[in-house]
Amino acid sequence: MDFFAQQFFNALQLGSLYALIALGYTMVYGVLLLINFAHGDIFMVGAFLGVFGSITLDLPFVPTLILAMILTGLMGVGIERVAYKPLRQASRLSAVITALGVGLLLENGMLALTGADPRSYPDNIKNLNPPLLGDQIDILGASISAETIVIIVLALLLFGGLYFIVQRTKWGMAMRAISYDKFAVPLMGVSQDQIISMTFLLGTGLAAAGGILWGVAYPILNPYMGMRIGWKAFIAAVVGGIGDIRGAAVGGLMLGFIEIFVPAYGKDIGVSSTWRDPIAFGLLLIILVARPTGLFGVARRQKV
Amino acid sequence: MNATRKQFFIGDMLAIGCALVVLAAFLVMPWFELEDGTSVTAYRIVTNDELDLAAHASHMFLIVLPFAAVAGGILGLLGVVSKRYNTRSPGLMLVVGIIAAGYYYGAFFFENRESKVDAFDFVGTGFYVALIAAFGFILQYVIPRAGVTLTPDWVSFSLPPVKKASHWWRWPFALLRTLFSWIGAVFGWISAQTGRWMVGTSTLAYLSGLVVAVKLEQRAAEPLAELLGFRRGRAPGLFGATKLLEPFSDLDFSGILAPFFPASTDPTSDPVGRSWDALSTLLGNFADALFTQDPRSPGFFDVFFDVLVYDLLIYIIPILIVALLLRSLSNRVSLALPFWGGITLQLVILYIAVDTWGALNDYRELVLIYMGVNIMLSVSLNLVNGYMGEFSVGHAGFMAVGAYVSSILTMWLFVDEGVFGDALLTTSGFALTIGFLIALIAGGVAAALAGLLVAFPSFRTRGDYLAIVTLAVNFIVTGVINNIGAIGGARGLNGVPLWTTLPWIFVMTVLSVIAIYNLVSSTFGKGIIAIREDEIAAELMGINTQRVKLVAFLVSSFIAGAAGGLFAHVLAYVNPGVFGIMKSTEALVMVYLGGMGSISGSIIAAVIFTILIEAFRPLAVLKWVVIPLILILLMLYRPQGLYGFREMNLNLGGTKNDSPEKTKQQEEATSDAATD
Repeated sequence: MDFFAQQFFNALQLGSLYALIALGYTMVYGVLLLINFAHGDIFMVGAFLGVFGSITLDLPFVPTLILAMILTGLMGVGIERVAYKPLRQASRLSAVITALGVGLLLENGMLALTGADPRSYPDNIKNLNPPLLGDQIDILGASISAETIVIIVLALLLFGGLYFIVQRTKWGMAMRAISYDKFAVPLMGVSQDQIISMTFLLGTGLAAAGGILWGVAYPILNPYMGMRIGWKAFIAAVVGGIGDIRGAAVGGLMLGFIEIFVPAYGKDIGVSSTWRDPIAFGLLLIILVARPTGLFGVARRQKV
Repeated sequence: MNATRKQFFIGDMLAIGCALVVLAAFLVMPWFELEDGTSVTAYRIVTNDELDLAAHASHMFLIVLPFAAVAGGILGLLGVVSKRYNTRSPGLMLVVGIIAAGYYYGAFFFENRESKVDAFDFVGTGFYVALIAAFGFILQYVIPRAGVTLTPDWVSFSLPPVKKASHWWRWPFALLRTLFSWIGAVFGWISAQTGRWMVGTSTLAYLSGLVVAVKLEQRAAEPLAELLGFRRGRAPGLFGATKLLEPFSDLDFSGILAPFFPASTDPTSDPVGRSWDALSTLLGNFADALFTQDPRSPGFFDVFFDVLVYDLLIYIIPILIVALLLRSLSNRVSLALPFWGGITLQLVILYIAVDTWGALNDYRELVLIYMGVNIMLSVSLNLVNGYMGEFSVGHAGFMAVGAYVSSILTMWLFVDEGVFGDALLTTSGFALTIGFLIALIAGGVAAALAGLLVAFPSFRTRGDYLAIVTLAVNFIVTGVINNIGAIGGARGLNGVPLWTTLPWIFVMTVLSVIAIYNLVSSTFGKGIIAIREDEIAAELMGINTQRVKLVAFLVSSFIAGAAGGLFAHVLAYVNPGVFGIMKSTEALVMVYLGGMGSISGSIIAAVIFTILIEAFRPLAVLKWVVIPLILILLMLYRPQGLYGFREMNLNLGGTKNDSPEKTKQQEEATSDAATD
């Protein structure tokens, strides 16, 4: 039981991180119908900005998190203005390819500008000692580190905050309206540009938060981390039904559970941990064949 | 045609062009090597008394040529300026040209008697220059007699207006933009002018010119390379493309942001200052890399002009001259042959050119093989992405399947003491060739079976979701290969026989291009295009969309698999990391650079991209900064690519009549067609 609980919390931690990143994919897709392939690398930039905040500026955890979220969010808005906005009228493929290019540019530019040494966070960020919690917490016989709890709770908070913004505020209403009908919304006097910028701000800010929490949970940061993790989160978004916020959360958690539980229980029957990628992607394939628009996605009926 | 204007003949242009080249060489280039290893220009030998000219008396022969070229150039220029056609000037130029060529022959033989090595080194190159110049002079005399007068009007040339900056802080950008538009205008004018002269020249003539140029390079490359001061006197590998960026190979950008992102958990002291220091050092190095004149590590501009001279002398001028000379002959030949006969003839000539070009060094042959693999990849991906309008981002996955299956087969069957033990079959010679072919086909079939993983979901999913399916297939393939220990897993498969040679890659590439071309131009292929335009309408028109999609995916992944097999047999070592998402991205870049739905675009893009990759090799990490940047700029400013949804006008079958009136009409017709 304690083994199961331990793995359960690990899966919850990984899954909530995937979910945070998947949210960015799904929000941008919902508003712009654009697969933002650069999102994984924006997540990487967020994690690196955490190094900047915590080591160079010597800030504690929460200010580092906020600083990285703001800076990354602004960068996301800038990328949208420079690279995606001119292509809004062009074919959708052009924008997708541009996004792919922006992603490669970010990760290789980061590598070229900062060098290849791996980074990691200082101890005051890596060993969080939140009030009311000790270093280790015993739940169901498993001892869970405080960071895991903080990551899960923070991810839930951010997720709830986003859900509130999208469902309860005027901005969120405008976002949902644009994803419903992007031609009618500007006619109602809502600035499409502002809403799209806002979407990018929120999505990339969440990616930055995900990046910093990732750096807390796992030791090594390098410029290529965004690619692998970004693709995984993207799969989570698609499995949940891209464009749907609940879908991103469910997809992310699902992916986390698969990635943790397959090696944990599979190694007895000869399935080692290196099989988790093929299994995760194979599952994606099966889900997409069975439900072509993901778990929560609604197929848009094409008018003839 | 304006009667009062002087008629320009092609020979005028060539003579002036060649004269200018030689004149430039006379004034600027290190023309003669002295005994102590230093070099000196012809101009200095003529003007400087301090040099001990007696010791170099034999070299004085060589000065005649520049003077002859100057005389010829002045004559040609006078003819242009006076706007009056002087019937005697072609004759004069012919004499000048023959004298120049004769002197070079004389110098060559004179030197050859004294020391066999030195003579060819500098005389040989000069000889070819002189030969080209003399050719120009002779053409000047001969071509008007043959009645081939080309369009007499010049394409008018005017510089674009200076762009005004809207804000004060924008003026540097406006200045740069103006500068680039001017450079663009000059290049555009030159190419338009060349286009006018070359009207009605068939591909056959250009290919023959290419063969001549390549043969010329075989003989003249080394002396010319030494003359231009290339490293170790070797001919540049890829038209000099690999040399252009070498000056920048030492630049280190990593100091700029590294102080802000320290690798240790201790903060760097004074990050802003250190970053500023790194930046200023970098700027200094960058300026050095641009402008250095040091012969051991020349700067960018130095190399650029050397490479330009080399390409002009070895490739561009000979190709144009030969193409012009053979224009009417090649047209007659092309028209006499049946269509496929003409194509075969041109392929044979192309192969001769490519083979001679690649024979000069191993690096070139390797690049040619990569080029062929890339052409196969981009053409096959274009079938799915361009013609069928889907978005496949996992093409490298099929390549991986093909590469592994074919190399496992060849190693298992034919390689002794390999990963799989001794060979099962002991064969040699022709049987090995057949065996390799079967292995390649098996690789293609296996890749096509993997293509089913994409084809079946494509019946229900479209667009972005199908893109994700292809991506997933790519990850699954590499992931599964990673986990099979018997074929090396993540360590890769070592010792694949090096069987991919130039003939193999040439034949396979041509076959795949023809296969795709025939597929998309058949009735069945119209169905593929109909799916791109509107799937529902296509289905209503009676197209079995499932069958069409199945065939398109199978063909596309089959060719990708065969390309993978060829690729594995040139690398000798395959591992799953090679076939990751980067490789897929490369294929995507090629397709969108060339343009969707265009086979010729895909081929050209693959060639350009392969050369570009090699050219950026000295930049290491920056290579993958520049390539995505090109992709982004391409999407922003020319989203349709080089040849989006149209094919290049190749004139494969020849042109019927090349009299001046007809060519003018044809030109108008083609330009109309282009605007349509």
